[in-house]
Amino acid sequence: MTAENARFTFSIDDRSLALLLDEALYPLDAIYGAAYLFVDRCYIFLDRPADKQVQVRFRTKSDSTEQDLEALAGEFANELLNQVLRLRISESTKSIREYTLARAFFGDSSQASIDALLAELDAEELADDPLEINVPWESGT
Amino acid sequence: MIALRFHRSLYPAPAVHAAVAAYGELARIEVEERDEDIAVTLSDIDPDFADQADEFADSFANHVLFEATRSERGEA
Amino acid sequence: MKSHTIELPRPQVAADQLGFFRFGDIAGRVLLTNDAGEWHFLGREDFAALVAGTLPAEHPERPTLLAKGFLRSELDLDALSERIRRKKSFLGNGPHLHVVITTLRCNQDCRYCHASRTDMDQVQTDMSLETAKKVVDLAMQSTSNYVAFEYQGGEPTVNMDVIKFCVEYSREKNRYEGKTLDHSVVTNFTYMTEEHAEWLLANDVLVCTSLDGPEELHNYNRTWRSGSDAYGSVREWMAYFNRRWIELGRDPHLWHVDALTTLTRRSLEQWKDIVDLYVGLGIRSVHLRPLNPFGFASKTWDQIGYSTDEYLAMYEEALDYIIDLNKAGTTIIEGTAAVLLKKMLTPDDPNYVDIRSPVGSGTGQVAYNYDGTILPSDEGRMIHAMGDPMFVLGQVGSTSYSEIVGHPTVKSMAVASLLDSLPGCSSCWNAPYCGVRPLHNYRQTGDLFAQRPNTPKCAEHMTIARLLFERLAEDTTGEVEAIFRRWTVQRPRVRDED
Ligand code: SF4
Repeated sequence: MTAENARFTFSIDDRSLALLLDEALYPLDAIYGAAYLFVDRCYIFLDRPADKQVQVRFRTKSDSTEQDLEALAGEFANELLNQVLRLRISESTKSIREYTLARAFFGDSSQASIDALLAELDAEELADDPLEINVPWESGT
Repeated sequence: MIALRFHRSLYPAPAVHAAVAAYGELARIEVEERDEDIAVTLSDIDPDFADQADEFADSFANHVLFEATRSERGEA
Repeated sequence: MKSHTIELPRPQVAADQLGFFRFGDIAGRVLLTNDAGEWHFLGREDFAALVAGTLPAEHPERPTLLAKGFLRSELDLDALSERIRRKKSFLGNGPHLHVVITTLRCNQDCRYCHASRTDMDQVQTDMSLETAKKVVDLAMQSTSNYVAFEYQGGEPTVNMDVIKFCVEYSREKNRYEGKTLDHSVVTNFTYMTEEHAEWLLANDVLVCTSLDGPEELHNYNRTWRSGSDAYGSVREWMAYFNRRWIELGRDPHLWHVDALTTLTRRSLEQWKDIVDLYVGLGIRSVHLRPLNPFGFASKTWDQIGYSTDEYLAMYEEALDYIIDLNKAGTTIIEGTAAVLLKKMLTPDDPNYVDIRSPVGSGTGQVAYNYDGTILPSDEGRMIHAMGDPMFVLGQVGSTSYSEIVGHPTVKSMAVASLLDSLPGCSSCWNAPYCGVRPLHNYRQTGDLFAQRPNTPKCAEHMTIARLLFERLAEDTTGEVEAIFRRWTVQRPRVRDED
């Protein structure tokens, strides 16, 4: 199932934790999304030590032991992977979602979102996919 | 006085300005927009927070992160 | 400075085979949810296979995942759109809840009541009939086919003339409008008379009261200025109304006095007594909502307040107790759970104005202060009463219906509560069932948005939704789901002879 593992290197110090992330693996939106979920427990600061590298620094709001900080690193890393997955799903389903929401709220989808959906389907070569999507407007609805 | 540095590629300028607006009544905040980053200096922190100046600065940074996250999601 | 390394399996993703969904870890499994409110639990390995595109064609969960829209193959976009449309049908309705503050005068002085009452001699805080007419004229312009007038105060029955006028005048107007109208009065009963009661009964006005718990707790929370027995009065009038409705031939399941409890620190310790009292009185719903923490002097809050964690610990125990009561044959519903369950277990949304996306302030409900000031909700009125005009939407008589629903503040609140675009919420598994409160945020932080993980409402809604999903996940016999489904059924309250 898992062809490769994700490795996270982090350093810990008194109430603080720092992780270095490669932006090619972890898009900024995923880093924001994951970091943001910790603002209740931590102060968070992002820095860019080198091109395409993002350092995420946490300082816990209350006292924390080394184990707490290790657990925090694990939680953040896990959340980051989840955020990447969420991002992939929402990017891939963007046009489907625009279509369904437009149709739900405005009665009909706009031509623009149909075009976008068709373009996406083309791009993903789903025309050749046995799991082809049921495109409703083709049947004249 | 506390100095913070927000890298432009990580924190959009409007996010920093929104946090300055939110915290402006509680401290003197100077902002210097430079090529790579935005430098923020906090001084004259409200007496209620003066003994926790680090927390105050960290909360300010969290607010910038919040605003940056918000703008990244197509809002603001 | 110590350096460490951790390794985690990186998920393989075949995103082009997936429908849109959000997910989260609950009860040791992965919960998937989508825009239509559909949800499904998968074991971790099955979830990994789903996202990797390797879930076998003959996998037993596959047909359900397809039907719910989690897989892209054969995805019926129109059917999915239709389900989303039904879920969000409240968006096209317009405000249905119209809160009318008939007076600020009140003869009680409750510990948790702040800025929303005056003493009994302050007659200038009574709504005039002229203002009431303008309120009804405006409310009846709502595009919603269902309009519910809710009379609040102060103690609303202190100005009974305005209640009578609104009921009669709205019904008169409705002969041409053809809407479904409801009227309800939220009363502490301390000003009730037989004459008023009979009028309310004869005119199909629903009655809701405040009952904080057993005698000692109720009287502690709700100081009645005259030193009389607030609890005794509530019990007496509840019995009166309930008896009279039966005598009038009404179905007691539908026509009975509803009660609301306000939870103080003391109540938290006595949650079981509160639930037992409600059951003993035949009340079928108890809404265990936390006290709104804003606006108290810190001394008062120290006395009556509690943390979100303390509240949620109580909630979990109380929820399980209520589920057990239902298992033993007693019908009693917890209010917040019922709202969330309706979203989780039915194709509809209960249109509960405080837990929806976007929030109902100004688009699902409107509040009219005694002087005709228009506000987006009762909480907006509190903020106004504390001297902040931020949420004033206009004045009855001079502000039009379209000016209210199109007011920039209403739009800002809608934007600030649209979960799809809020950081934290947009990717949260609970987004289809949740709702945020911009007015609450504003009171807490001065900002309609607010950092989600720091807001008490997020912790509250996330924990309660999680508890409900956990109970569903652990429910091997279907008994709990059957109970939960019963909680989602609302029968229309029409007169039996209609
Ligand atoms: S308020 Fe909290 S629980 Fe609700 S959708 Fe947003 S993040 Fe999730």
